[in-house]
Amino acid sequence: MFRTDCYEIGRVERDTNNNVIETNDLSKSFGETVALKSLNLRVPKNSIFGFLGPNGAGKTTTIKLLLGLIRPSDGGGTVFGHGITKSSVEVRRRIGYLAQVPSYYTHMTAREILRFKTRFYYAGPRDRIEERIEEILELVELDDKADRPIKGFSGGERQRLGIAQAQVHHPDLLILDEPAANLDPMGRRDVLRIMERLRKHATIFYSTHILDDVQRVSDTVAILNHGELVAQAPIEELLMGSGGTVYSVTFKRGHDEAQRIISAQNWVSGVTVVHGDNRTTLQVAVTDEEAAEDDLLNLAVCDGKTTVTEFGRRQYELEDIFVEIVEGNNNGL
Amino acid sequence: MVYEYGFEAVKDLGWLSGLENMLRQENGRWWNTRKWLVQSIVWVLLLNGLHALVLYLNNQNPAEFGSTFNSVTMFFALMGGMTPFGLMILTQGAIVEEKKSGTAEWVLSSPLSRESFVLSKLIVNFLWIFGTLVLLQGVVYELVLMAFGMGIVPVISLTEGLVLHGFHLLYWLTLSLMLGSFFKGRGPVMGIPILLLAFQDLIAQLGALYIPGIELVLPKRIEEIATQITLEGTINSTIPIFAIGFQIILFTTIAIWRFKQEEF
Repeated sequence: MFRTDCYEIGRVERDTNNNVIETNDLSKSFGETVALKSLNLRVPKNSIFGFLGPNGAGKTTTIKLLLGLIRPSDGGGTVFGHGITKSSVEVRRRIGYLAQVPSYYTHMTAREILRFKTRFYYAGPRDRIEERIEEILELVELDDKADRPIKGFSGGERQRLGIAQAQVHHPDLLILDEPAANLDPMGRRDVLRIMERLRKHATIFYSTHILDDVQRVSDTVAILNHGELVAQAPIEELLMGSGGTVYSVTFKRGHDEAQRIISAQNWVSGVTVVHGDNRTTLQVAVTDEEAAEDDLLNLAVCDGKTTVTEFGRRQYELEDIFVEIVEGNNNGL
Repeated sequence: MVYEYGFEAVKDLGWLSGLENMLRQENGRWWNTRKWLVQSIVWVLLLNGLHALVLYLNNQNPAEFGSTFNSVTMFFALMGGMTPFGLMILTQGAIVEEKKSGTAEWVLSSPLSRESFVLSKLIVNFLWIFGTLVLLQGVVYELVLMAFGMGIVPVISLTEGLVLHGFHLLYWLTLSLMLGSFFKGRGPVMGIPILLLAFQDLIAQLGALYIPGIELVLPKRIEEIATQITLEGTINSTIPIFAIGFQIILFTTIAIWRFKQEEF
């Protein structure tokens, strides 16, 4: 079980002025259904903040609350210091938003949509606005389709247009709801590249269930399950895991004696055996990293009958962490 | 003036934030899609075409039908009977469709107030409907009278009548928008006004048993006043105008209030 307590939000609360989003016991119910329970979220400035959770966890509900599209049942929050209910228009002035299923006026072309969107923020100069639209159309590679009605756009083209309209006005905060969900691998790569490019100027808050993407670009992650925040931490911290330090030793043959010797060490807190194709791996949890690094490999080969093919500190994948946290949370319900 | 990234920032208009941009967008629905042209042609054919046909058929006996009095009465009866239906068809999806398609969610994620959203629908649709279904028809009506060698209706009187008819349509438009803010489907948004339009006489008769003078607050009276002012230049009572004006304000207020409660 991973230690979710070490990811408590108090750690990031130290520098509240540096937070773009802050929610305080933000809650939302739809009739009898509780969609979000007392969410206390802190999103640091200029971060790429991955908002994870299984389907129905409350990710989209949170985003809609931040945008003032729905009202909280209890609690509240601020974005750039503005209240999300009382100053919603002010909040939206600094946000760019891409919905999970983006919808646009179908009588418009891509250029007209960007022009329409831009005019909510900029009154002029006209030439500069047109330049910006052209620039963005090129960035998302829609410049050759800019003057076609969007009725005929593919899913990927719509998504790229969505990203374009979300950032055409240089928002300080970009909120993306599943930005890569409907894209092919190339489209996903492009979206991630754009996000990385934008981090210099903006904070990016995005929900997703594609964990590879999160691991690649995010610097902070929050995990939501059944409407509750179950973890929030910088990605490196989360990837370190919380089951103590674990080393992995893979044997081609003869692991029994090595397992006995290793288990007998007082700095070893547990050994898990994983059998694979002609390979056996020992997952060795240790309490003393220095001792493990100095002695573990020697102990594994000390009887002279074993062949070790791999040795190293175990690297967790975000997927492991995510599954463990969510399953642990589900079991605890 | 506030500049960001070399752009002039839009002024903060409080509860009217985003109105100008939404007005432009709503106008584009009429202008860029040539809806204005289609509606102009359709209504010229429906109203003035029908009027001209009746005049043509009665051309041999002008005393029977060709008098200006009969012509005005028929023209306003046609407008009063047909244009509210046209308006309902044209505006039934103004709010409902945006809620269903997700475009309301999209535009409301921008610095657009919900008041501006509703008002943009009201202002632009009213202006275009008034222009194509009412004013243009008035101009063509005078041309038809001239073509048939009949005396034209005094321009001021006709304009007053048309403005009152526009006021009548504004009632149906605000009712339609109010219903659109409450319901998720087009059915009730179309159905309720049609029932009210069709059964006004019955409502007036039955309602009079319990509320004397109820007929004065029904929109049908505005049509009668519009015909009267065009023919005589005067009106008997202003109560229906105030009553309908009050309902227009009430419907608009409720539409905005309800739309502000909507969750997307």
